[in-house]
Amino acid sequence: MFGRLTFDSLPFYSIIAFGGAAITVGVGLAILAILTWFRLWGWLWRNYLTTLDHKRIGIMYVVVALVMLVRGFIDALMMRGQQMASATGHGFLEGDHFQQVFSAHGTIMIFFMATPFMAGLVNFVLPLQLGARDVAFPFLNALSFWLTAGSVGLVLISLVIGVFSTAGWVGYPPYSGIERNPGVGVDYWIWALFISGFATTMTGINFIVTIMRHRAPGMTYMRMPIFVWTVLCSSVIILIAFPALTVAVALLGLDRLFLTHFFTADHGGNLMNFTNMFWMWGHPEVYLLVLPAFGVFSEVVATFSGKKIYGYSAMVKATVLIMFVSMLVWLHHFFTMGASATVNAVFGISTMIIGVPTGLKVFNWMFTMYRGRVRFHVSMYWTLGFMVLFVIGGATGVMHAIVPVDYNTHNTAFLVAHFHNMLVPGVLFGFVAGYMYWFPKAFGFTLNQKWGIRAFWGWAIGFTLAFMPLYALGLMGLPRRTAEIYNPDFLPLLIVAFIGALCVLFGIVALVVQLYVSIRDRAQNRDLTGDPWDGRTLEWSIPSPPPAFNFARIPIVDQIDPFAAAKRAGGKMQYEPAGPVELPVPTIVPMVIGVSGFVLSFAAVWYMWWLFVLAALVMLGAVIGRSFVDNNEFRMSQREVDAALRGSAGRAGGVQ
Amino acid sequence: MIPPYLQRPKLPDYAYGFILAVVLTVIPFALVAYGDMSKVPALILIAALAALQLGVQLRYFMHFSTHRTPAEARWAFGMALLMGGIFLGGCLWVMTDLNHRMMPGMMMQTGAMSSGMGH
Amino acid sequence: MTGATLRGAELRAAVAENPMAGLGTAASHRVHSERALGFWVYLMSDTIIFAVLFANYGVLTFGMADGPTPHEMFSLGRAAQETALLLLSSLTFGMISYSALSGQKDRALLWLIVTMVLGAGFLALELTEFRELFAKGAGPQASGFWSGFFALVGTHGLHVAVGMIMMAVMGVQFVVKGLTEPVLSRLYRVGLFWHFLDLVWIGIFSFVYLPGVLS
Repeated sequence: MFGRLTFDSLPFYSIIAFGGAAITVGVGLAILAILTWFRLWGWLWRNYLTTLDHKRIGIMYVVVALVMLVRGFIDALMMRGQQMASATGHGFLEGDHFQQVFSAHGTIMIFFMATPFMAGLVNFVLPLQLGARDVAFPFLNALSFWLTAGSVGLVLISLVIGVFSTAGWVGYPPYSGIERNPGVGVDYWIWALFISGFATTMTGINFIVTIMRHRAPGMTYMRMPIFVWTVLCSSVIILIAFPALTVAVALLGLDRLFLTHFFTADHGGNLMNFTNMFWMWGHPEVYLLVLPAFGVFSEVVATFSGKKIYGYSAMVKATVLIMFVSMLVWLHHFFTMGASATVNAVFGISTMIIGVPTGLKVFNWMFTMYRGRVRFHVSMYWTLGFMVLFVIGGATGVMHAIVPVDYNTHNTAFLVAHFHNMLVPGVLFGFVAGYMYWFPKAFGFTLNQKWGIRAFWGWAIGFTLAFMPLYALGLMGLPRRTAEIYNPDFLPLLIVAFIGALCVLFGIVALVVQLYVSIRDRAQNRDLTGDPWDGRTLEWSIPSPPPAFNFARIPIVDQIDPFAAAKRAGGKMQYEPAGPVELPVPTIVPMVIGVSGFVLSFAAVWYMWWLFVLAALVMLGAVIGRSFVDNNEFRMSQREVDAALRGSAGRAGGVQ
Repeated sequence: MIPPYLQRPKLPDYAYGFILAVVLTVIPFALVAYGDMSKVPALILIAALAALQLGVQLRYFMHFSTHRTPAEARWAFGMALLMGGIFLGGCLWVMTDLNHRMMPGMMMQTGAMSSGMGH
Repeated sequence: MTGATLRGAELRAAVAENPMAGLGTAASHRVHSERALGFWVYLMSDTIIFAVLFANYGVLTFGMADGPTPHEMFSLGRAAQETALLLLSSLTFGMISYSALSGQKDRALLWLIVTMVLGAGFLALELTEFRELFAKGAGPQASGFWSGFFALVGTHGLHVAVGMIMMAVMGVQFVVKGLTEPVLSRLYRVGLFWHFLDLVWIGIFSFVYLPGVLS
């Protein structure tokens, strides 16, 4: 009845494991207690658990991302600490704990921090920038969120019941096969990726159709904000790349469960094909994360330079080119796996090519600032930090693209430094900049600038101190994923790296303090106009926070940066005629499916097949039942719309 | 403009489509069952017939055309075809290349090739 | 694509050829057309899933190890029967669409049942084929090749099973709701799915069964 779940699955075998489990359970219980004590269940149910509103869904995604950032960062601190301690000794982590830590760190940061952060920002902003009332498929949108949340739950519960994978965030067989890894760790990993993969694919479909069909009248493709273009290209990448991951992990799961021979060393299996398929997804994945970050930078730079983005059409073409080429480079993740020189060279060249459109974008951001009236909003700090640091990472990327060089740097700390150099200043700085930029739109008050800048310096200095030494260490011979180093020569640089991690910790604490201070001082920092930054795009023309229907009347657009154009012309924007508005009816079904997804995957991990079937039936039943719902919208009459607007009176841009 | 899900398909489309599909199916099956062609030309012919039937079914059964399929869907289809082809072709190229280099005979020629299974 | 709703003489002319064209409003047309588009986009992701499974199969044709070969195990006759059933079911699905979009609910339901019988026949044949392969030692655990075969053909079969569930739901909706706009919108998407599966099957018999028998 409990499958292979036993009392031994509980984390009483190590203090650190027990500590992690206790914190996870403790925080969960604390949240439940707070909700109950302050009688917030009704509010939570009405506003978040049943919502199909893209703005609320976006907020939930970002909350998940920020929580998982902390969770993943604790792993980072442990790794930096362990490596520093083990330069001259044994370190403090026992057994294969370090392996679980780096596997969890990578898996969490990519799948459950960066991806939800992106999904959240895009969810909130995209319809607003398009002049739309919602995404194309609100129910699917909520479903994507709750399935992602279910996967997050699975990863979190692996800290309490059982263990997480020790096979890295990439999970290569044969190590991740059933013979060498019969435990639950790899299964947790497989199911978390499998379920969240479906969720992300559905999100991609949603965003694509939203961009295709929900643009305001007059907003041709070449009048969309650059952020929207990056979301479109990113969503196409999602659509094309995620199926490869779904297949790869599903086949690995079949190998583990049914003893098939997809990736076994014997009986005609092909180990190398997993690596191949995984990276067919894996490389496009990182571009899918970084493109929207680039989009944020484009918006931030244009707004705070008071100028239209330089070279709009070149930026669009560069984005589309990056999208295409990103799907042609995957072999560079396994140059050393033994392909012939021709194959390696072709992929090496395609990898170098992809640096060109990215470089073009960097120049265009700089040219946008040139002769602009630059204001140093905190998001500009993150942007400038990105521009300086990311270029270093790009350069080391091109170094890796030179195959003979890669033979020396592959899987060393040099590689670790390179990809963090892309992900942290690129993806993370971009999303944090977006978070600080759009926060007032979401909540009606601005974030504290001072603490935001402190957070930036913590992160920028911390990142530099943590990862620049790793470049050197890699060239000195330190391999990646090394739990016990025993080389005192490395100690000075490892100490610097650990200090860097502490600076990043300060940066994270500063983000939390910023949030606290901003909420505390929100009365003074209210965004009364809906346009705190003198914005250029449509989202700044509506109140902060926007009413449920976003736009009382749909704007009509005739150029890029339509809101800036309207303000420049001294007049109001043009709108479609007023009319009643239709909004989706809230429903608990997406959450039910998400929770069932969690139960389903937990049951599969522990071989509780009766529960697996039950959860599957619930999911199937919910989907079939939902298909019988024809009319899932409610109408707001003209009068109700006006009343809602009056409720946000004084917070409109004056142009409605 | 009538939306695609309300447009009634035309019966002749189904007739043409079905007959063409049957023909394009019978030929390759007959070729394999009774034919005498050598392997590679046969496989090429089968692939060509498959591509043709794909087009036939798309056009006549799924009504894939400029006036019945939204433009965006045609773009999406083109992308999927292109990228599916690249993944398929790239995958086969890479893996056959690796396979070739993993064959027992190769080990002698390339000397101390201990690149192993780098990740 | 949707534009304004048709009116008056235009509508009468359109309805002559498309009896159900008068259903819905501009707003509902927009919503359902978006769902149709979304489903096309979803099918493209499914295309990539099958492309990767085909690639995986291709790679594993090197992985027969010492196990049984397809030449020994594939039955051309059975593959032909499966192909015939699926192709016929695509035709009969077209008949469902034709009847439904002519407003003929009972006829649509009849063609739906015929299509489901053909689909069930396909699945039955496939299950028998799989069971025989298992019995002859060519199950998915036999070698990399057979794992690849079962992954590709099995995934297709699973999709067909899902299509059967979708058709059953459509049948119930025909009866309970009648041929309303949302029902026809759903039928369109189920149709896309069912035809898509026949497209994948073309690939399967062309690149799996026929080459396997030839080898």
